[in-house]
Amino acid sequence: MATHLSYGRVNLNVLREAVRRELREFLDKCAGSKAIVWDEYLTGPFGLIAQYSLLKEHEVEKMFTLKGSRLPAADVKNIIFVVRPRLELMDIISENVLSEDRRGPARDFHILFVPRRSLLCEQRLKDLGVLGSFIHREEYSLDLIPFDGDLLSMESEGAFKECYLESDQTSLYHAAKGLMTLQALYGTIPQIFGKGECARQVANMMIRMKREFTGSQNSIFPVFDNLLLLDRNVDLLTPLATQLTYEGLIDEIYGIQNSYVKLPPEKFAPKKQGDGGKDLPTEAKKLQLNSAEELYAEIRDKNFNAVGSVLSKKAKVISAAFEERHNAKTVGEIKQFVSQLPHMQAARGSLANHTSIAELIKDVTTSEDFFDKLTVEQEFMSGIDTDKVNSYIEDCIAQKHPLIKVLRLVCLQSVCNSGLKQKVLDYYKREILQTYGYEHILTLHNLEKTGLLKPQTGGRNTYPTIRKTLRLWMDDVNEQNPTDISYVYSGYAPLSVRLAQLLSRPGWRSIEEVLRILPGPHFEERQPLPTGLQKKRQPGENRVTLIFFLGGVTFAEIAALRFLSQLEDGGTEYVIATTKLINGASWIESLMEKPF
Amino acid sequence: MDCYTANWNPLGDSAFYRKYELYSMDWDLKEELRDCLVAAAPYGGPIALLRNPGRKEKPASARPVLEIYSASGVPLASLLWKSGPMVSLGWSAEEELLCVQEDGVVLVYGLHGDFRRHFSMGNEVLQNRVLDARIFHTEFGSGVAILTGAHRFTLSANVGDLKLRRMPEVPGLQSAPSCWTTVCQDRVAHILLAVGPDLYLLDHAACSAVIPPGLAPGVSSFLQMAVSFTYRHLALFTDTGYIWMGTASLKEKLCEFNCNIRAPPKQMVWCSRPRSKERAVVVGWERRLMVVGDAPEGIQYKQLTIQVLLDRLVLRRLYPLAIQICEYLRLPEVQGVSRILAHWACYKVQQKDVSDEDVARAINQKLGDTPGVSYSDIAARAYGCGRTELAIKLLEYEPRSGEQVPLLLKMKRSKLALSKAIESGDTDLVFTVLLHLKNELNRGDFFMTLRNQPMALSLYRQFCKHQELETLKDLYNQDDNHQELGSFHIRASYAAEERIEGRVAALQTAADAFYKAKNEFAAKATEDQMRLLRLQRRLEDELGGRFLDLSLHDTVTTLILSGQNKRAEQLARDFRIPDKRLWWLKLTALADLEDWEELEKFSKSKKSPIGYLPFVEICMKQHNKYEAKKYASRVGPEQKVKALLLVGDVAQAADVAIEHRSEAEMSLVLSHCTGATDGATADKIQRARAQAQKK
Repeated sequence: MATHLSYGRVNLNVLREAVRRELREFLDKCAGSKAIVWDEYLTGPFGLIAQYSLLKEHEVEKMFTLKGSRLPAADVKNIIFVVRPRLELMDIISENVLSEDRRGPARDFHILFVPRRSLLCEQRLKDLGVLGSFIHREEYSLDLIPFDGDLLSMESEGAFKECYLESDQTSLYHAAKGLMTLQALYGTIPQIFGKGECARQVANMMIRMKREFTGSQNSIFPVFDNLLLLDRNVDLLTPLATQLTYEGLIDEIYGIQNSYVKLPPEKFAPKKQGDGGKDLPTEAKKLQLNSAEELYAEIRDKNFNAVGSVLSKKAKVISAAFEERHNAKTVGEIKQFVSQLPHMQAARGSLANHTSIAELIKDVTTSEDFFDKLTVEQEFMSGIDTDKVNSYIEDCIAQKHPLIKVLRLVCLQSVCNSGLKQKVLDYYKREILQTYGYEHILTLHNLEKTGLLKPQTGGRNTYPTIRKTLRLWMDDVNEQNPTDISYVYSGYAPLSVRLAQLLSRPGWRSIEEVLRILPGPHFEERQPLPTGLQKKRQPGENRVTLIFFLGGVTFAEIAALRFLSQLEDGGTEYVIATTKLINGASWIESLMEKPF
Repeated sequence: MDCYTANWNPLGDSAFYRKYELYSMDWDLKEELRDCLVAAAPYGGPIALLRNPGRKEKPASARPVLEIYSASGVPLASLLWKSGPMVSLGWSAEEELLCVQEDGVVLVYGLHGDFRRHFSMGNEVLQNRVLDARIFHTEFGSGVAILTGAHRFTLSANVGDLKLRRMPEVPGLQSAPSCWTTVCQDRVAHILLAVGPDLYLLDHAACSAVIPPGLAPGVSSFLQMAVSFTYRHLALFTDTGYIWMGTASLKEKLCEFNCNIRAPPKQMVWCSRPRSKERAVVVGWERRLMVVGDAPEGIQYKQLTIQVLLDRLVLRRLYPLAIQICEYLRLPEVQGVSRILAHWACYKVQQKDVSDEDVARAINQKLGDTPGVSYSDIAARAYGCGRTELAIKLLEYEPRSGEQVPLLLKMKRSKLALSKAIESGDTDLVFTVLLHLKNELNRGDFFMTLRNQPMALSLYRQFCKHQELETLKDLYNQDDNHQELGSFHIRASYAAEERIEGRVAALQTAADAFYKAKNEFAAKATEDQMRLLRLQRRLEDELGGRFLDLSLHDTVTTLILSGQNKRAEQLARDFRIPDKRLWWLKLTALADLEDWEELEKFSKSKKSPIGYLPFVEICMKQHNKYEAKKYASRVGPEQKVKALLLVGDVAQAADVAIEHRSEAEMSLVLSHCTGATDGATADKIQRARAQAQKK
């Protein structure tokens, strides 16, 4: 089923199977035919766990989206609401239940909270007079969802905003719970490292939860050697920069949602059949992107400039393979050729898709504006002219480019200058308010509260120190055959990943000074193991580090970590976990406030 | 040989029977059992008797007495029944005595006659009274089924997790069914009832008529029915003296028998080994006993598991014996010793003569961190005995906040509960405590409590943001958080106000707050916004069209587009729009209008602060090469090549590039040499390049 989850050092299919089992068990508790009413936000993440076929096997006959007033008619015995524990959803559910009660034959109602049951929500259901209507009220602890063989995400959309803007730790609690689930399946993680306020809290919760479970000794041999918890606000810079890997650019331009991307259909029109071009498909082309697809696995993490050559090489290999048919003379040879056909056809389809996507991306990356924007970003990141009003940003505002783009650039400049001079900051803010509307003062306040945008205080710009110590800017970047993680941004090495790299070798003690400049505490905790479970590493065997980004991670950072995992003398392989897969645009958008 | 067969009597032709006393009961009963309500727990558990269960008002002296005996008749407890009239008695699987009263209240007692709790079977039962009640056992626990005076059934399949189900009406049922029972199919409890010649099966959704296969004709009423302990088999006794035995699913008949006794039996029960093929029913009348089946065999097989055995020992307070058994059987701690220790602790907390400190210490010493021990359960028991302080001390040992907090709340230690909830990081738990506190404390105290708990405060703010906006304002006010108050009023100016006056007033409040917060920028920006709003309103009045809620930039653009250049200029001046942006704005607006004349006039009004390349670009965007060329000539040297290429003048672009001796520009021009006529130009560049390299 999901073989791409099991190719890595840690078999994440084990986790997927565990959550699938939990789902099946719940469904079987509600005997008889059922309809599921979905909290719309959950359908994407659930799709990665269970296709409709699994639900169907367990007598799920209908599926609806949770909406106000009445439920659509369904002749089923059970109605199951699958929802996040949110008060506004409870109000809708109660509307549904009450109108159903008036309708006639009684049904069994159930409610499945994802990822956690909530007393607050149950109280609300009680106040609305429907709590007693539910036969089963349970939780489905779907905290970490496997996205790929080395990637887990909670897909909690508001995590960064909640943690850093609203001081709401709910998602951190879920993260800690998710880590406990992982440890139950993959063994206790002996060492925990962390940097940042949220990282500290998650580690504290984990230690506390471990005490709660003293009863059941975990006797699984540990798969992970250590855990690195990183706050997103330790590195606010990286997501602001435009990602330049293939996957990163797809996400920047089209947005990848739960491993699916929707693309403009024109490029994917069937070319061969008849008089093509007359009736172009109008519905977006939806493609799933993960390492189950061989070609995608090969190119996703490359710098986009290195993708073209791979695609053309692949094209030659494939057409050569098809040419082989002329050499097949004997029946045996023909048979052999035919047996390989399905694989070859799949490869050809995959190549055609990615060639089309690459063309779409190239249209963007070769545009003048993309070039100008990138130039400005790179100037900022390498420390050039960060302390004055930038004329490209000014022009973007004057031409009313999308506000998110402008905010992203202004924040990038602010972060690369440890805050903007008051005069510069006020100028940008005033320009933005006048051009895009005064209501955006709320968004600007949010950005200031999270530290993305700020006045320079104390008059010292610490970014150059950080940049130099961590070697964040590399002039001699090799995009084709990279030697350093900086290839993912064509020069800029993501700070977060640099921290992970330095932790692995030579250790954080070498960068104490920088760690003190970056926000939040850094720490190390040990979780003692019984002697029988202590690992004796074979010479040359790599360590496995689980790195958890609290507040989101970008595809370019993931690519950089995969690059480190693949280094022959790297010594560490990474499994990546995050509260949400983000890019600069989705991240800034989550912090925007639109009062009307 | 004689002596062995002496007490056997013949029964029919081929069988013999004998009678002897199996066990002599230790009890000394004054009443006849037939005058009592009796309930015996399964597996040799205790027996409960209610003497004198008369229903009507009686003098206190004649109040009924509830007695509990062990299976061998040793008295365990006796208490005067002071509650309401009782309809039915029964033991739960946990050996708790369930006493069903006429008003639908169920009182729960322990094995030693200790009152545990009570619950009600619902309003409908209260109104219509209980006519009949049954206590039954399923794999989920023990349930109660009620037949009310209105001839409706209500049941709860598990009294441990009370969910009441009111069963649907039986059509045409005017009087009580002649007999009924609970059956369990597909893990769901149903009711089987007999009305005249018909049988009905009630589940929570429907009432369906059922017919036992192979039932003899002529039945006009069912007098008794019995379901086997495992719910697999069913026996029916009819008014014709006929007995039908089959599966409870009513799919299969096992056997039938006609006994020719038409009197309703007092009792009918199944007696057979669960897995044995020999199935039998015992039917009893006043002075007659009959066994019906393929081959009678009458001793109940004991299905006690070790766990149940241990539970029974614990209930009888035989802790050391239970622990010895655990150790002997090497049971894992969680299932064995620690569970028994927990029970011991629950008993210990009831010893009122020992001080709180001593009890807590003794318990902690013995239990320590033994896995599987729930300190909160023990604390709950202590609290149940009125020992709140002891409960709090015990809760300190509880590592699971999810268990700790609800109990602290129940004991009204909400502030302690709050700090424990915060420690856990479980925000849902924190919310729960907060809502509790909110109801418990007056507003001032509540706010004070929040003030000391920043994490709780921020959570509560989020709650208010979505649920109670006014409270949010009060919270900010209390903390003198003027910055947030400002934002609050900005939001209100959009959400709560429709009239311009209202919106402006809200903005004024916001601006005042920003001043107090020393955020001069925000204050000034908000004042600008007020100014703009008023002006937009005036524009709408004077010019028509929509201006409200446009940004300043778009307002100026709209004015230009509607030919109001003077007003646009004025507005730009009033709000000090920087020159560069104003040029971009006008350029874009005039090009949109395709007012080329005005654009040219504008371009000549003074030296462009944004250069002339944007003019070229925007004209080309509107496909006006003629106009674009006008501006291309005015573009400064740095962007000249770009401008010339834009208007398609490759040859001149080449000349400029060569003149500049710029390699970058030359290759840019080369890349544009695609047309058939560009050959000469390309050659020219190549020559220039070659020359440059020579030098």
